[in-house]
Amino acid sequence: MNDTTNTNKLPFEFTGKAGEYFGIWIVNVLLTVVTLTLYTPWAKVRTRRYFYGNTLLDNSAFDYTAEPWALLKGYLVALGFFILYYMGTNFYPLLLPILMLVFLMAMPWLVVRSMMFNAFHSVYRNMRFSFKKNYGGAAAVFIGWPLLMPLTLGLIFPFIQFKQKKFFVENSSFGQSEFKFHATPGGFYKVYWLIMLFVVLGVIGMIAAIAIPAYHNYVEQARMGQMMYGRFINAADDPGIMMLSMAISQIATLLFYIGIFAYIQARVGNLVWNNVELASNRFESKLRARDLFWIFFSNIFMIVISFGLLIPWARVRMAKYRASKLSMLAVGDLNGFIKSEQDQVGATGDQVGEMFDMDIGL
Amino acid sequence: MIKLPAYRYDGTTSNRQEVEICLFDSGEVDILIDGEKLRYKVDDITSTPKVGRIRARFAFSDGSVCEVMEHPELDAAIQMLPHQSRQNKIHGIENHLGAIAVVFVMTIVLMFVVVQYGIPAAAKQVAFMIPVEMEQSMGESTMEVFEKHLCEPSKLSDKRQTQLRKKFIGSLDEEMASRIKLIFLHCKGFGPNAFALPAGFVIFTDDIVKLAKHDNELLGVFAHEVGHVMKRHAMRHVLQNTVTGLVIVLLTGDVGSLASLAAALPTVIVQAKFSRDFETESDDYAAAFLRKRNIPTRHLGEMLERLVKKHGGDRLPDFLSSHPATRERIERLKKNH
Repeated sequence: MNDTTNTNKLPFEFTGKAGEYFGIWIVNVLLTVVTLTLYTPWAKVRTRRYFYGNTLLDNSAFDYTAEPWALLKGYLVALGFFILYYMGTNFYPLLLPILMLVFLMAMPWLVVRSMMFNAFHSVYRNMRFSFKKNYGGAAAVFIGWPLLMPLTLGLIFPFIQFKQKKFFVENSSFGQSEFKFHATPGGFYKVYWLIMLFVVLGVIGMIAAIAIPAYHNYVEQARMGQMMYGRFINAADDPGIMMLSMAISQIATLLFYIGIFAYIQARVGNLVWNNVELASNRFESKLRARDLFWIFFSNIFMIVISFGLLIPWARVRMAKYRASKLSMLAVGDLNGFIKSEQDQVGATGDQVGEMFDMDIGL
Repeated sequence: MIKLPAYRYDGTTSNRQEVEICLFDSGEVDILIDGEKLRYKVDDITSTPKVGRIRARFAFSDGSVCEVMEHPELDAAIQMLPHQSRQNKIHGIENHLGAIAVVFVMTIVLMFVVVQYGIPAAAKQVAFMIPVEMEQSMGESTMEVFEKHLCEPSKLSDKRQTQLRKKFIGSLDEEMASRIKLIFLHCKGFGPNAFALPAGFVIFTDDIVKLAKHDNELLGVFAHEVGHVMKRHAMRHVLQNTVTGLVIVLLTGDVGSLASLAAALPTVIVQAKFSRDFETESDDYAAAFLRKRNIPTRHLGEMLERLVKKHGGDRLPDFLSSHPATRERIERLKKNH
């Protein structure tokens, strides 16, 4: 730990404007549809460059340097996978577990490639970030540890999340300087114990109420609702009616989920950022669960009633809030970082790495 | 000569220098750092494409980069650089209010055309190229759910079943007969109804058979279901929903995982619209089917009237409903007489 009296607090700042981003977004939408979605890589690069370029730290902007052409191949692979997945699981339900298994096995590779690609193309002060080619580490935190989930009844989840965050932070570098992670598993358990209590109580409650058969029935009906396009006449089992009654009866549940989501995002976000170190510089994150809850809720509401036209507004608002709550506690200025010699990432990894990003999006 | 204030980063360290870039008409470029001067030419500079009002970046051939502050003469300076990006044309559109308005209207119109005509037409083309056998496992697994979980074996007498089967199957041409598998089931949960499943399974509930006053009414319903099968609605349904899902995901993708909730409503509306179009197509198919066999289409209309009374009419606003309003279906059948 460093002497905090000698540090400069350097705020992050997001300078994007909803109106300006609307222009970029609507052009992206039009070109994406006109080109039968092939414009997607270009849209993605423009969007990322807008958000990176408007994010300032100590009045220097970030930059995103990927070339759309490099992303196109990865997008086509991801598109193929999406079609295979969607069509395949509709016609050959047995294909689903196989595809899931393939995806799980490929996940460490995809995560690392994607991180390497995005780090390499993230630039601050003309200096690239980088990510280590640590497949073993990725396999451990994304496959190895999660295998223990059923054995421990999920109690190991906060520990796994700790391991994953540590993996992301400690394999990242800025120039030659590696990021360090000072959080402990205990910190993550502190975030989750309340939620775990809820979940445990919920599970017990569900079993007690014999909700499972009812739930099965409901799932079955929902499934049938999907397939019964060929009914002769509308009836009470109409998917639309089911949607409507579901929507009404589950608004409370929805708010509850948004609440939990906001709570975890705020607490985990703060926990991670407040324990990251980069060459003696530290960070300070002050996200608040109630702010995030309100932003999530009102964003969703506004997007729905505007038929999606307020998506740009919602994104800019979110980015502004997140940046406003993050600062760097810098020891002196940020001049001392030195370029890393090994920052060449092979082009093959770039493209397929992007596919993972895509699949998260899907 | 144009003078621009900028930050300069040399590329080997994160050091930041406050500099002035001087571009001369001769193509010479000077960078002034605390009284010192670095000399370049315009050919040494690549400017990254503009997006919104993020700061321009001039990348120099020696690896250094200048982050150029907003300046009235910045655009003129960029014009002097030989390495131009075509993406700056898109930037022009993104920042022009009139152009945005045009793009906005075009987007709405295009979305409408794509949803109304594009996706259905494309799905139709593709569906008829995919062999029916593809639907087999989907149809069988759905059929299994019906037989094992939702319904019981039919309680209609064997004689009645055979009689109807003879009438229905007898009305089919050879191609139809090879595709349709007719099944009677006793389904308490569904009331009087009929279903077409993928791979040509057509289910009649006992209740609908009992509700009918005339076997031609049932034949009309059967013709409607045959329409679903012959027009490949199962396959087209899956194809259309795949494409719609993809487009919606691409448009709302990086809003954050919670925003998928926001995407649910438009998805439901579009899918309900597709479903209504299939129903109308099947009703038209049934009308043509009956006319060809010299059976009045009013039989089907009467069946619909009776079903409405039984089910209690339409409960949803039109745009959310999977079927057109029953009143409209009856009117359309009359016109199709």
